[in-house]
Parts: sequence; structure tokens; C-alpha cells
Amino acid sequence: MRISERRNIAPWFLGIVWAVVLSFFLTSCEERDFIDPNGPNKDQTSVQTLVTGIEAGMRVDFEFYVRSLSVIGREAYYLEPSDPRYTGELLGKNGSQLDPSGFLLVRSWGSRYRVIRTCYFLLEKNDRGANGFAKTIIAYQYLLNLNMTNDNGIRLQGADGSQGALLTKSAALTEIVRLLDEGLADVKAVSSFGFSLSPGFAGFDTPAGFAKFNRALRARVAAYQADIPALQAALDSSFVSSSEPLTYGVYHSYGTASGDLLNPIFEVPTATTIKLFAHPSFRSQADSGDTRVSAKTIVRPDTTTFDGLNGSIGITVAASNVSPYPIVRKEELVLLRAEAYISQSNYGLAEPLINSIRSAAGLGNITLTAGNAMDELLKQRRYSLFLEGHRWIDMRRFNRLSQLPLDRAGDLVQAQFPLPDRE
Amino acid sequence: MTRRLILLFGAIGLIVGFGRAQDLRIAGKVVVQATSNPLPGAIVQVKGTALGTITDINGEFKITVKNRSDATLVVSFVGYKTVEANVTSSSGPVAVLMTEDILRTSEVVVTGLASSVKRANAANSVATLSAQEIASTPMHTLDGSLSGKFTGISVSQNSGAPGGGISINLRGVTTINGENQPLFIVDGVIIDNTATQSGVNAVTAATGGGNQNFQDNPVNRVADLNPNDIASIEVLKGPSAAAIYGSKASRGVVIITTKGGTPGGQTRVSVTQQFGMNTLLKKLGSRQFNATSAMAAFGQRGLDEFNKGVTVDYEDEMYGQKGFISSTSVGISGGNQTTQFYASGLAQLEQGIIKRTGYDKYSARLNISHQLFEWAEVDVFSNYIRSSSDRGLTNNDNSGATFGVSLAFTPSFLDLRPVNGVYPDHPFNSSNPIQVRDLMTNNELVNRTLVSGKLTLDLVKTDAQSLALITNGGIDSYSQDNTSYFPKSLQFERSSSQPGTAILGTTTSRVGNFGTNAVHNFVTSENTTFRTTVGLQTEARELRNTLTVAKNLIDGQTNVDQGANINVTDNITKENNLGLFAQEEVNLNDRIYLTAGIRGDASSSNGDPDKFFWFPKASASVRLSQYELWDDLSSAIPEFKLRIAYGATGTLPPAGAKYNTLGPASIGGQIGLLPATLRGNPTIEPEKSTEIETGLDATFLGGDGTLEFSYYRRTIKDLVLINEVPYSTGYVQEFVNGGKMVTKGFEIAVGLDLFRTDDFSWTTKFNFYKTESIIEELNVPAFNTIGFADVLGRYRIEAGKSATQIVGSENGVLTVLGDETPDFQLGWSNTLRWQDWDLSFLFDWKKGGDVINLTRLLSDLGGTTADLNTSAGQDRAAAFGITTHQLVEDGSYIKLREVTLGYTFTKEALGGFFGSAFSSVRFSLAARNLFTITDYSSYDPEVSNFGNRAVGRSIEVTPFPSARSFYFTMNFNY
Repeated sequence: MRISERRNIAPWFLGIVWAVVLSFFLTSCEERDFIDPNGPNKDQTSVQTLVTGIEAGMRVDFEFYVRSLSVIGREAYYLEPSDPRYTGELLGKNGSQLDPSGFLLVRSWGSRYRVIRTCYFLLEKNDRGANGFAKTIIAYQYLLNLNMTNDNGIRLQGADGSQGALLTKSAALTEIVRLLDEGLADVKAVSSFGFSLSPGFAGFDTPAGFAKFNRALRARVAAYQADIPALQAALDSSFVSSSEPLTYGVYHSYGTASGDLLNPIFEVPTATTIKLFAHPSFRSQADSGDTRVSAKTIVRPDTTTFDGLNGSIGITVAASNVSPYPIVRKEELVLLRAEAYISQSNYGLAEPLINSIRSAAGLGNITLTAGNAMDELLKQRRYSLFLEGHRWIDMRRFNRLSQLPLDRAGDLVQAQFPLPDRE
Repeated sequence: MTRRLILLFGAIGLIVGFGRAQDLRIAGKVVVQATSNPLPGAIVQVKGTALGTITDINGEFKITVKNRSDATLVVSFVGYKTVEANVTSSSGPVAVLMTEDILRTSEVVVTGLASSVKRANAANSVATLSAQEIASTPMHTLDGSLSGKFTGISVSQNSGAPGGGISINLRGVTTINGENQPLFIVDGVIIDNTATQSGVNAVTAATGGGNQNFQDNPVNRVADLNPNDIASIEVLKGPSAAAIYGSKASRGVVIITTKGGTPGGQTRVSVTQQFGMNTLLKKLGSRQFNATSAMAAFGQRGLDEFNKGVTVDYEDEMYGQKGFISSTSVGISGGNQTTQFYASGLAQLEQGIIKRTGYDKYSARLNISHQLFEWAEVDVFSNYIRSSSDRGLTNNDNSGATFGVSLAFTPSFLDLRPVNGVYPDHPFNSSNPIQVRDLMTNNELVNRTLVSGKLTLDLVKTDAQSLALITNGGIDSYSQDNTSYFPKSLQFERSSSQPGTAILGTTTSRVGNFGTNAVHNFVTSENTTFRTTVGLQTEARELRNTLTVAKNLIDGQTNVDQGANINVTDNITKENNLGLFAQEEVNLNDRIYLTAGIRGDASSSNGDPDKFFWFPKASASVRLSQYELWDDLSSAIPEFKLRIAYGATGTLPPAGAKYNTLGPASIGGQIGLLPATLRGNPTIEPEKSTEIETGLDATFLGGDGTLEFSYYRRTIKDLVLINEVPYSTGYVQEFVNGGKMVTKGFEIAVGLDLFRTDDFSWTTKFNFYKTESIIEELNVPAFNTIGFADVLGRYRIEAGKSATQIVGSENGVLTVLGDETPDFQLGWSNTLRWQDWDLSFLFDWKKGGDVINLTRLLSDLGGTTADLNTSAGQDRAAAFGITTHQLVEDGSYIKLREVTLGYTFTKEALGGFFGSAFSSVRFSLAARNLFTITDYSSYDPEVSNFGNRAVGRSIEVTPFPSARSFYFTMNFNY
């Protein structure tokens, strides 16, 4: 009987308790419309964080670019047992073709466009100096991708992040030149930058210095366009004639801080296991006494055999895992100047430039002639710019890919990467 | 609603005020027919009313029916057939005899957030497992013990590593991206089942090259639960059953109920001690070399090594450990009429077949149920778990560091065993696997607390009506520490520019749930029951994963602050959801059962966090056997039911799919920002699944046989797909809604009570199922998903094709080479009893279903595959890069998954032993994976390099090999 009485009262009482609980719950009900817990959006960024991000991003996946170009250009082997593609398609093993969706192509390719996206975010900040930085970097990133796909061209990126037009090689080079020229104008319009750059830009981190970097890139593009007047003009405004050593230039910085990256080609050259080996021809075809050979490579006591290739030469181009990696430096500019003269058959003016490079490498002077000039130029570029991503492009632009050595029956030299299948 | 409540409370007054003249007072006792023992805890209900009670420790009950002179009692208890008894005012005390329900036709299954129905009426196929079936053969994790026991539920392990990594797929492919794992609900609370990567990728670099998906061999966290704590598991396989769980239920729902106490004076104690052993399931063998082949495959160094004349069996060396297993568990249950409890403890130690691997788990649980008042009950469930697993270093890598990849490049003539503590360098690989095994650490430590509570208020309880408010809430909180250490002395660390790696991954997860439901029952005089449920649920989920990788360590140091190069990543997954729910169930005299319901869900993970998505359901069942037309058949086919059900559910897009985020990137001591490679989609919505299921349930052979047949057709629209955006946009991918997938399948379950005498019984069950998923529409271009490259075989999502097709490059042409989905699966379980002996065994047959075997490809590349001395082996190795079909193998298998032989000493048999302390003692011998019949060439076709993938499971890259396990169990019941 007591229970039925309680039953009459209790529901009302409990109803109230329950309503209190429910209202507590409804008010404490967690917000569903919250901001991204993991990072800012583009409008929450500053000029400096974007500039630093761009500089950092230029190095992301760059190792795939360096490895691919160096292996195809027969500067190096990358003996990687867990991924047979480094010794397969890159060397055209049994006639195999480069994969249009393979990571060797798309990792670097995609990361370059990611930097370009960041540059467009920076352009939205309407900072003239930063605009000059952004346009120069966009041009450089396009150039790296064009280096891979060459005649297959590249895609532009829309300022809004859309996929832009597919440009042929020559149209792409024209666009790159336009961006460099616009970037130069922006940089020249300011007296100082409102942001700082990494130590890799030491000497080039003011508007005046950065303009020289911009022109150095312009010079390289002019050489690819075989536009000799433009090449000469760009070199004139670059740092080719600075009194600094041949290593003077703009570099990617590396470091061990959290979120930083390490030099993409450094391995302890004497370690039991390394993957990146110099191609044997680098030593066998060198002039005796060339100090670049001993400075950049080391003969290892053991030979590593994989997939029919023998790796016995370690690479010492980078002294440590935080050594900078060159973007463009004086040695290349001197050789571009020489190339300009040789292209005009002006061997007399080219000769002292070539000999200055030879002399720095401990080699004697030579006399340049129509017969030997181009061979000599390419040889000096090969040894001076070893593992800096030039060899394959040089042999390609002078139609000499067939002169690259083949190590195994059935190998071939790839001429260019296909356009990634998503483009 | 308000109006109805007023009516309802008015009705109470009437009933209480005027209804006492002709009350029927019933007293009775419920006993088990076979043993004549009383059955405490049995549910006694008055048919056609909402009245009910449960029996006490002596099996006795009393119940009063107002205003009636006769009534029909319905008595039910889990594991027994439901019995009806007619009572009139003139009948004396009622004796109800219960018989075992071997085929479980009368158990109760879930139909709503706070409602259930007898299986005999259910309009869906709902799979259930009892405690007995879960724990029949030991298994180190709960999820692993489900294999082969259901129709439509494929349970397979990702590797043989101790401590889990189990994939549970309900009715085939339920989504395309991400995990296929169902929603797990334990005692009313959604628990986290995330598989968090350990971070060893920093060493293996498995994601560094061709594939961006992690391959760290993770454990999904449902593995933490103690199988001995489980009272029952119910599985809602498809949307038609799971619609009540809305936008998180497309992948199915697994409802786990843990044990409780029983009312009555006696406290029961059960102590179980188990010992066992893990051994390698299968050996692959290794190539026999001679001087010529050693020279050809490994050069001069190979010949030099060969001439030393040593032969090492590396499978014995690496996988040959006889892993010791020990498990001690205690369960105590008891209580009185108002308070019941269940408490348990578990200590489990298990070694893997690889030295220095293993899984240890400690678990403690306390469940309390208390009747505050006759109309108010409080339940509290609490569970603490600590598990520690050492998982070795297996699966894919790009650094040559993992055990399997190393072994693929290790010929048997090479001796890598340490001499005086010095490990020789591996001349053909970057690491010596024996050294890595002996010196590295890869430990996962989890501390987890699950606490939930439930308050049930019986606001109204009359003959005709009842109204209950059920409010529950809970927290699932854990921290997971992944500690990995690779000392400087390892061969590949010495080669590194930054020797020595220490990795600390810290994951904290919190899932909070709150829900409240009102359930109203109304019974008409024609015995039609109307049940109305309305409810509201919220869920808040936050998972934070911080990963610190330290390289260039100080000698001998393992802390992550002792490195020269320290990288930290920090990622937060946050999701808040709100759900509303209403359902009406109508039961027409247990003949026709109808339901209709709707659930609305809003989630922070959707592009519009305030938009509600609606998921309706409706179902009907008819028990033809309850009608007169069936009278002639009812002796042969006592039960026959037709059912049809429709329901909709969703799958939320991944948290964060809508954001355009920039992440940190450093250079020159400054920190900057780079856009994520994932492009945000501000309009992303959940996937929407709708399913029609139809089937029939029958018992035949006079009730000794059961048949369940179900056919379903599920359509998933707005599939959340990863759209591979052109790289030139600056992004790599984005989540989009695009595409439609149709999954069809059927399930047949047949149970037979073959023999049943006092001395001997034999029950057998067949679970057969088949499923097929076709991509009907795709609004993005056909794309490749999981896999490494065309020449290595991969999965490809393409309109008009199977969702699980495997493609590969055949002479440069992309060709379909196989399909992961099997032709069918069949589980066959048996339970035999002879006097006090019992024997159970479970066969699991998977017919068809292809696997990409890259383990053999690696050993082909390494020149060590056993058959490389044959021309067939050489041809296969040479075909790599040209064709892919040789990598795709048939993964069919027949496994004897479980076999257990036990003997039980009853109290009588024990006599005076142990001072009569025990009510029963049981000894059993069990084996898991005793044998496997398969043509698959590697360790086990049940494998997944990428863990729990919806699509892309069947790729093998040098996994932790599967084990065969033996157990001896002693169980003492007090």
C-alpha cells in the first residue's frame, strides 16, 4: 500500500528531477560548430609564417626529384631493395616506362604545387616585397616540374587554387619568365623586406640581393630557351661576377629542429649500408687530377650489388645531414656565361671562364675550339654541378641522351616523365 | 505527447481507485526440468499486460493481476525456451518447468535504444552470442573470438601479432574509405575502437615511398575488453536493424552486455586458470643454394658466405618461439533482491612466436545494480584495463628494417647469429633481423577506464500501461603510450646520419555519451501491445595523438629528450554529435509485429554542423505458425515467420574533412605554415545507407531444427570518397560525396539439435553467407585505392565493378586480376556432450577471395624463395614488372578454428574432494587454428598489411605470421 502511494507522488517528483537533469544536459551539450582544432586557415596566417612555410615547403619531397634526375642522368644509383622502381623504371630496365602515377614523379610534382598554393596565399596579403618573393618562387617551382615533364608540359595553378591551363614547354617557359619579370619589378619597388629568410638566402635576403637571385633563375631559364641575349642580360644582373667563391649562391637550409628537414642526399659515406651511390662512370670518365672527384665521391671498401648494379662509390657532396643544398650558385652562372659565348661561337670569351672552373678543380688550361667546346662545357657542368639536378637536363637539351652510359642489357635512357595521370 | 501523458496519469488514478475487487493473486515456482533445480532470475510476465516480476533465489515468484480472474503467464530466461502457463483464481501454486533452448528461439533481441523484442517476433536477423559461445575456446582478445560464429559477419585478423588487430566486417563492404569497423556499444555506451598507429613508421618508412597509408600494424581498441566479462553480444548487421543508431551505424552495431549479479542469497565465485602455448602455424621453407646459385644471387660475397658451410633455419630462428600463455581470471557474482553485483579480475600473459613479443592484460570490473525503490533502478558498470603489447617489427617497410623484409633477403647459408654478443652485419640488407629483434622495443601500453551508469524509472506500471524513463551516460577514457626504441648499435642505425631512434606516441581518447529515453507500453484487451519510444542522445569524442620522434640519441638513452633531432607532431580528432529518436512498435498478439521509427542526427563532422539528417526505419513480421491455417503443420514446423525490414543509416565523414588547414613547417629556426595536402570540403555530408532485408525464420523437426534465411539489398548513396584532386591545385586529395554502391547478399543459418538424451547430446549449426558489393555510380574518375603500384597489384574503384576488385598491370595494360570478396563463407560449429564430457569444434570455410602476396615477391627479389630452384619459381620471379597476376593468389581456406574437449566434475562427482567447496570443477583442452587447408603460398590468407580497411585488406607484406595456440584450462566454481 505504501508503494502505491509513493507511485502516485514519485513520478511527479522524479519528473522534476529528470527535467533538471535533462536541462543540464541540454545546456552542457557540446558545441558542434567549432573551429579546426589542428591548425589555422589561410586567413589566420601572417606574411612571415607563409614566407617561412614556402621556404620550408620547397624542400618537401625534393629528395624524389634529386634521386630521379640523378639516376636517370646516370650520375647515381639508388639501390633500394624494398622498392625496385629506383633500379627499374628509372633506368628503363627491359624497356620499362615511367609510371604517370608513380611516387617518383608525383611526390615532388605535387609538393611544388603545394608551395605555389602557399605563394598564392601570400599574394593575398598584398605586400609588394612579399609579392616579389612569391612570384619568383612560383616561377622556380614551375621550372622544377617542367624539368621532369619537359615536352609534356605543365599545368598552371589558378590563383584560387583551381587547375589551370596545360601549357606546352615553350609556353610554360614564357610564363615562368613573365612571373620572374613581375617578381623582379615587385622586389625593385621596395627598399626592404617586411619578412626574414632562412640562412640559405644569406646575401640574398634584401630586395637588391633577392633581385640577383631572381636574375640568376632567369638566366637558367634563358639557357633552356636558348635565348642568348636574354641569358646575357639576366647574367649581367645576377651575381655571376661577384668576388665571392664559386659556391656562393642561394641554398636550401636544413636543420634538426622539430619540423625541419635533413639534407636529401646525405648519407654517412662509410656506413655499412647506403643507398645512393655515384655512377661508376663519374670516376672512370674523370680527368686525372680533377679534385672534384675526390671531393664529391669516395671509394668504399665493399661493393653493394642489387638488381644487377654494383655500387661502390659513396657520395660526399653534402658534408653532413644539415649541409645546405644549392638552388643556384655562382659556379653554374659562370658556366652559363661560358655557354652563352659558346652558343655564339665566341670561344675566346668562353675559354677563360671554362679554364677558371678547371683551375678551381686542379686541372690545367685548355684551348676551346668549335670541335671541343660543347663537350668540354658539358663535362665541366657534369663535374661542377654533380648531384645538383643538371646532368639529365643538360644532355637532353643538347640532344645527347644517347651518350649516357647503359649498365645492363635492355636498359634505356628515359627522355622525360609523362604528365601525371591526374593532370 | 502532453495530452497523452495527462490521459495516462488519469488512467492511473482510475485503476488505482476502482480496480481492486477481483484481483488474481498468483504464486508459483520455476524449475529446470532436466535437473529439478529452481531457476532464480527468470522473468515472469502476465500476457496482455505490462505486469511482470522475476523469480527469487528459490525460483519462486508472486504476482497480482488486478481486475481479472484468469491470466496467462509467460516465463522466460536466457538459454531456456519460453513457457506459457494458464492460471485461474482456482488454481493453486503454479509450477513452471523450463527446458533448455539450445537453438535460442525465444531469446530477446534489441529493437531500439531502450527496447527489445523476443526473437520469435523480430523483424530483422539479429545475431547473438552467449557468454558460453564467446568463451568456449580461449582467445587473447574479445574480437578474435567471434570468427565463424555468425552469418554475414566476417571476422579476420590482420596479422598474428599477439594483442589483436582484428577486422570485423558486417555484410560486406560498408564504405570505401577508411575503416569498415562497426560501432561498439558496451552497456549502453559507445566505446572508442580507433586503431592508432604506433609511430614505428619513422624507422620503417613504410609510408615514405609509394603509399601514404600507415602500415604500423595497429591494434583496434575493442581488443581491450575481457571476454570473460561478456554476458552476451548482439550484432545489428545492416541498416534495417541499426537505424536506431543513425549516422554512425552504417557499418553495423555490436552491442555488448556485460555480466551482472543474480538476486538471491548465494554468492558465486568462479576461478579459471589457463596455460597455453603459441606456435608457428606454417613454415614456408627457404631456398637450397649451391655454389653457383649463391654466386648468381649474391655475388662474390654470397659465394664466400656459402663456402663457410653453415645452414640456418631462419623461420625457426625468428618465428620458432613456443610462446607461453597464462591467464588467471576470477568472477564473483551475487546479490539480494535489491542489490546485485558482478566483480571480476583478469591477469593474462601471452608470448608470441617471435622472441620478445607478447601481450599482457590486467582487467578489473565491478557492475552493480540496485533497486532504489520499486520504481527506480540504478545500474553502474565500471571497468579498468591495462594492457601491454610488444609487437615486434613486421609488415611493409622501405628501410629493410622489419623482420620479414630482412628475412626475404637472407639466404640460409648466411649466419647472422650473434657471436659473443656481437651481431654480424647483414651484407645483403640494411639490418640484421636477429639483432633488431633482440635489441629493439616496440611496446604499446594502454590504461583504460570504462564507466557507465543507467537510471531506470518506472514512472507508471499498471495492468495496461507502463512508462519508463531510461537515462544513461558514460565515459570511455584511455591513454595509449607507444614506446619504440632502436639503439645506435643496430646496423641500420649505425648507417644513419642520426644513429639511434626513440619514438613516443601518446594517445588520449575520451568518448562521453549521454542519452535519455522514454518508453511507453500500452496493452489492449485484445492483447495488442503498443510501445512508443522517444529518445535523445549526445556523444562527444576527442582523441589526441602526440608523436615524438627523437633521432641521434645519446648512447644507451631511450628517452625522447635525449636525441639531437626531435620531431613532434600533434593531432586532435574532435567530434560532437546529437541524435533524436522516436519509434513505435506494435505487437498484435505475438502474431504480427510492426515497427516504424526515425532518427535525426547532427554532427560537427558534417559540413553544416546544425543540419539534421534523418534516418527512417520500418519493419513487419508475421508468425504464420500462430494462425489456425498452420494447425496441420505445427507439429512438424512449430514456428514459421516471414519478415521484412527497411532502414536507413549513415556513416559520418571523417572529422576534419571540412577544414582547410595549414600545418607547421620549420626552416632556419623559424616556424612557418604550409597548407595540408587535404583540401577541405565545407559541404561534406554523411554517407546514407538504406537496406531492405527480407527473410524467414522457422523451426522444424518438431522444434529440433531452426532455419534462418535472410536476403538483403543495401544501397549506399553519397559515398564519402577520397577524390584525388589534380596536383596542380596544390592539394592531393579531398573528401567528397560521390557515388553509389549496392551490396546484395544472403545468409542461411541452420541449427540442428541432432541428439538429445540424458547421456548424449549433439547440436550442430551451419552459418552460410555470401555478399557482393558493386559500385553503381561514381561521380569522380575511377581511382586506385589501397596498394603500392599497378605492377604490385592494387584495388581500384570503378563504376560498374566490384568494390573490392584487384587490378594489376599485365604487359602495361591495367587488368582485373581478382577480387577480395569471397564466393561464400561457411561456419560449422558443433557441441557434443556425453555424460560429463563435452566437445565443441568450429570449422570456418572461406571459398574464394584473392590476396596480393607481396611477401613472396620480396623473397623472389631477395632470391630466397623456397621454389626458386625450379623453373616455375624462376619464371614467376622474372615476370615481376611485366605481369602482376602471379602476385594475386586465391585466399580460400578451411580452418579448424576452435576445438575444445572438456570434462566437468559435478558437485556429486566431486564428493568430498576439496571439502565440498566447489559446486563444479571443469578441466578442458583447447586448440585454436589447429589446422588450415589452403593453397595460399604464404603464412595465412587471413592478413592485412593496411589494417582495418573497408576496401584494401587483402595485401600481404611480410606480416607477423599466424600462430596455432593450445590451451589447458581449469575452472573452479564455488
